[in-house]
Amino acid sequence: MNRTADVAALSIGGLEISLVQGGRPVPVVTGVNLSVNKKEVLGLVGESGSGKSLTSLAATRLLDPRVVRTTAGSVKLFGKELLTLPEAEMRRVRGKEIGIIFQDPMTSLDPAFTIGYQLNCGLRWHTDLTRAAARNRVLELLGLVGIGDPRRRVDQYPHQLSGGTRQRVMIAMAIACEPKVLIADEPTTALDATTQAQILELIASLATTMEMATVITTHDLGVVADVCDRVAVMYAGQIVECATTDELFYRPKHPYTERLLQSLPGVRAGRLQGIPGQPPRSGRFPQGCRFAPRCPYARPGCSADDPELTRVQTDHAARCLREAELELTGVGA
Amino acid sequence: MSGISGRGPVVALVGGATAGRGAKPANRFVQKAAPLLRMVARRVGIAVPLLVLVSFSVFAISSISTADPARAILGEGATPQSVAQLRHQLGLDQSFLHRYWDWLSGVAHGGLGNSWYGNIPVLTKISQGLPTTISLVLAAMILTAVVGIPLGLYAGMRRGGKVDTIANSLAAIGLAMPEFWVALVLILLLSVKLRVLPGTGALTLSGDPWQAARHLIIPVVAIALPQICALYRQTRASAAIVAQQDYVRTARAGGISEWSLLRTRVAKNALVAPVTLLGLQLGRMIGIAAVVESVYGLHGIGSIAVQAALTSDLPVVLGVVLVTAAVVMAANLLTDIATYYLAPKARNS
Repeated sequence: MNRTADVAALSIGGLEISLVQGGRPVPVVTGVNLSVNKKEVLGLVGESGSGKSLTSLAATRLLDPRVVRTTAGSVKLFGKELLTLPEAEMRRVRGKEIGIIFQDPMTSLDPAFTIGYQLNCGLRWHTDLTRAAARNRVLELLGLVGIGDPRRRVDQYPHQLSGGTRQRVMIAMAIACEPKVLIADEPTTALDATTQAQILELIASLATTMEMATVITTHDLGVVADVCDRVAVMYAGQIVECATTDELFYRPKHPYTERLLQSLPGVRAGRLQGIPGQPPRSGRFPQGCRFAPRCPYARPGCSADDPELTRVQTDHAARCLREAELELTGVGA
Repeated sequence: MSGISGRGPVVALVGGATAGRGAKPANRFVQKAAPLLRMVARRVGIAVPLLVLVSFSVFAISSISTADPARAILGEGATPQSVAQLRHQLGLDQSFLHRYWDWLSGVAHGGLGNSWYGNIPVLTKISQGLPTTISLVLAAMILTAVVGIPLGLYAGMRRGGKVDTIANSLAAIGLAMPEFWVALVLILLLSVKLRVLPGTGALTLSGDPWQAARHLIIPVVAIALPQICALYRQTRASAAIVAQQDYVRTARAGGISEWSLLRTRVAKNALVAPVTLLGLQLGRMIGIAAVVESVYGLHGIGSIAVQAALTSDLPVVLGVVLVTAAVVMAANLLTDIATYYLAPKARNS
């Protein structure tokens, strides 16, 4: 079982996701390459509609095939291709090998069942624990995610819990079968600021102690700075920059990343700076560099050629034609 | 009355549970079930005045009717003296409220009075018709639920699929056909043309059960068909909404199979509205049973009620109405208990 040493826990290659509603499929995510190793936390950052959630959910094949479909690429779990796996085997991957935390804990828990029942579901499905052992495991899990008085909570329904506690329950469900990969899709977006920090801390500490490979999608760079080892920035269905967190924050190599950092409160004195213009609508991407229409450094050539995601350093890649000539500002500069 | 007195012990039980001995399993159960017990007690308490109100309405409507029951019983050629004598015998010469009070105190002592024809106790008459109607309506209810609910859940989960498309068309056709017409077509087709099932004819439940069942098939299908279609559509709509919820995706993310998902999560979440509809359908089915019983010549309380109404046999009409109203109320209570179980969020309101 030494395969974990050299093979990435989760690797996504050449991923293309298309909207299929009515007529021809329209690609909304193109050429995404990502890999996450054991014990590593990867942040997938982007605006709404940038394709970050689609990318993370494609790995679990939970997208509704009547609306969105993965049209090209591969998703490998320790070298095992998931996209062509029969559905029955894929079910053994979900929950068992890949745990998923969803964005909105208010709607992601079933209102008709106790949290104990919902936690128990995955255990019953994936393990051969006895009823009593599963119950103990559920109580243990609730304690693990920091829920006080598990014995009382276990028989409660989601509507009896606060938002933060519900998200803790979601986390407990995701880690119940000790998955090797954890995908958290905007885990803190629906929570208030103080709860956000606690939930992030919890995810990060679980990722370390359980040695999981973790992907967190978010639109909040603060989240990334707090817990991620590496960051991939997505814009208009592409990864535009990928680097270790420090690299990305201090030495951004893509104008979009720079603009994002500049729009963080507290980074610069004075008024907050936004990015002028609107991101392109899904599937209607401009020619050449997709950020060019909004880029302060754009040249006529930028809209002609498709930039590749090129390695600029070890563990730092950017998708910009002018990357070599630009001096971009990071935080603290 | 039994409802009001039944309230005492329930409240006492609840009080005992909240008094702090919640650690014992039995008490914990009572504590958990307390809102349910309170609801049941409240509903049973309301049922009694409600039944009084229903009977009063029927009494009032029949008393303002211009038809004179005594003349109807004796026939057109009766002398005024004999009519007056019968009116006195039946108590029709007394005031409306006096008569109603007499009837009500009779009910309080466990009797529904006697039929004005042949002096047969109303309870006996009803108990003669009840088995037929119960088998008819119960079988139709079960058929409706067994076909409508699973089909609706499946179609709703897979909207636009084969089952969904076919079932939708069939449901539209089924809803467009009135019950009495369906009944006649079924008789023509199955018993007159194909001769596979008996058409009309009295049903004897005491005889060969297979023969009795064969007699019931056509009327049960006639009653159930439109209800199946309505229940199917309601269930499908609810299941389609549930299938799109985030928590269904969460369950899938845990590795649940589609079959388990449908059977547990989708079913429990989607069944609140269909169960409520099914409760309402019971009342409607009892009403339709009266028509269908007449078409098939079955001797149920529906046909008894129709006959009693046509002959101004007030005690029988009142008895049937009272029994039917009680059954409908019981069905509503069962619906509420089911909702209590299905929708935990609605429990404390």
